[in-house]
Amino acid sequence: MSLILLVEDNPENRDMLSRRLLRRGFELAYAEDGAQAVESARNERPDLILMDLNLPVMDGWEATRRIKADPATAAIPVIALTAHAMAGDSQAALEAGCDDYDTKPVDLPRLLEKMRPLLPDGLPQAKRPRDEA
Amino acid sequence: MSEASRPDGTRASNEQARELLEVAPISVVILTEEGKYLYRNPAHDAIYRYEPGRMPRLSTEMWVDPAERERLLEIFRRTGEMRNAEVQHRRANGEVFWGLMTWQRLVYDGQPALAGWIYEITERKLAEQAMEQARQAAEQANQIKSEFLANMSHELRTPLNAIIGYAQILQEDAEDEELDQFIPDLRKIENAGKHLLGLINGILDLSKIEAGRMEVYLEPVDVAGLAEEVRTLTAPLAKNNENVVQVEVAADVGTLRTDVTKLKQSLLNLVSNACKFTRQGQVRLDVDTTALEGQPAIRFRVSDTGIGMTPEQQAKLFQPFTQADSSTTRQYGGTGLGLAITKRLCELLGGSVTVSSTIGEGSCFTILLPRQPSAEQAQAQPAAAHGPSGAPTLLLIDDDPQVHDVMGAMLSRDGYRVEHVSGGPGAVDAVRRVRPLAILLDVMMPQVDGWSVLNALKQDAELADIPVIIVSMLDDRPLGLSLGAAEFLTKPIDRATLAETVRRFAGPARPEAEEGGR
Repeated sequence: MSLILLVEDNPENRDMLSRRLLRRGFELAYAEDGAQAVESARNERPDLILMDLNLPVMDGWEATRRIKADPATAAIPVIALTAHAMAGDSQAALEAGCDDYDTKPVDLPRLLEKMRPLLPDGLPQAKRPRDEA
Repeated sequence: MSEASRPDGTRASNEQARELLEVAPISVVILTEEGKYLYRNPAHDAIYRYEPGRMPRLSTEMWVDPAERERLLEIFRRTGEMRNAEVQHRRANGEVFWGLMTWQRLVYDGQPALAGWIYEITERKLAEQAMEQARQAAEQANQIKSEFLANMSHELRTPLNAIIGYAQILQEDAEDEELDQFIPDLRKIENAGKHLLGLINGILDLSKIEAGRMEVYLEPVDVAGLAEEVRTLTAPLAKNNENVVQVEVAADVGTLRTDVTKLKQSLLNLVSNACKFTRQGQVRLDVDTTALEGQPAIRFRVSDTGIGMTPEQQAKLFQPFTQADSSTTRQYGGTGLGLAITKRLCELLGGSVTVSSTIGEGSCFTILLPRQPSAEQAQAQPAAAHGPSGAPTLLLIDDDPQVHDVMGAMLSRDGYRVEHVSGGPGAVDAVRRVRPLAILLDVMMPQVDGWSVLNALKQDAELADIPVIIVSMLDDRPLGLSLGAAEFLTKPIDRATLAETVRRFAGPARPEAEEGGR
């Protein structure tokens, strides 16, 4: 089962995205700032990281650079979640080593399509009866 | 003096010359090499308020800024002259004035001497300073306004994201629990939220463009690939109204140097509009080559077989918050900002957007973009920054876009953020705004050259401490260093030397890079 590390400091955004990902059969780990993200990436070895960029303590760009600089975590794909307001952010995210980026607010089907090629097992089988039907 | 009174022609012309000097409005002095007066005209005494008949003492204390005196003396020693230096001197009564000063060597009464001309420009300088202050105040107010808008739209967006997100989650829950009767209302909440979000994003875009803070990131764009992407992204919208979207890109179009995000936003806007106002019809995106003001250009035409517009409707089409008809909003949705933004984005990219339309038959929007934005265009709108925001920031001032590409890429790979200015005009303002750790400055630039920029920076107390690294085709190292440059590099730039120099003056970009050596 794929483990996703969701790095997001806003509790509502974290709640919304995690509920929708859990529903689709992912396992989740959380981090609330960049420093926690680097720590969790080492300890939890997630299959993919969803990284908000504007974070307290250490921002998402720096956290991504550290994750990509550490041989133990360098192979973990990172998708940056950027706000519309910052048009240059997406470019900066790729330069920091992110594998892809998506803009907030999250459009879940679009985000899942970006996650699919980066996950070793692809997207999980949804647990919900509706999706199996 | 009459012709007859002259003993000979030469003598008369010397006298006449002397008389001209005596009545000249410009101060003229001749000094010995040691700095003693050999001659001074009345204008000189008038400017310095010396009492007539008393021999003034020349003193370094007349200089308001002794360092400026040293700098100008150094130039004079090296080059043997000093031209049009703007200096601040004290009069005998302590008053400070601005003078435009030129010095050169000459032979006077058979002796080597120094001749100086000083023209008072105090009024002009005060007017300039007042204008500069007014301009800075206006700029600051504008900046505060756009920062306020950016912050506010961020604050608005955060709760809005929660509204949209939870509305989506509740729809999924309602489907699971088979509470289908709630779904239409939840969808209305989601759609209203998305509409509001579109408005906020549009206002933010417009305010950024109008405040001159929309960054343009120029890169080669594969036009055929972009056109195909636009078709894919608008396919669901086309399907809603049973429209067929056709894309045709002429074989010679190839690539275009522009900001792909802004061009895509413009094309998506036009194609979405076409799909929205057309039912069971055809929407076409045709791309071919043409010329714009004599330069090679690319033409994007978005045409539809939709409802069309009257000339009156077309006239106010590109103004913000106006749709062709206020009833249009109710019937077709939209924020009324899309075309206003598209127009400004196209202008930002050095091009234009125009419309032709016949009511009941359809509309055609045409975007014209230069294949390569002109130097002037690049100057008006500095390129976007290279490298991550938050990284140690450098400012690169150069008129050659290629230098920006190459050095921006080199330095961002080293972990720096590089902000770009494409010429002398506006360079000092950019330094004041960005406050970089170090400045990379080209010398040979049109309009305002690097020496003038360097001079202006070193005269500004707030900016004088920022190290300036000159990057020049010519090796003028001594001149550069004497004018206050921290270091001097010659083009073509050697990557290792650049990295080492920048590191020396701006510090390392990444702390880990140092640790990595262990």
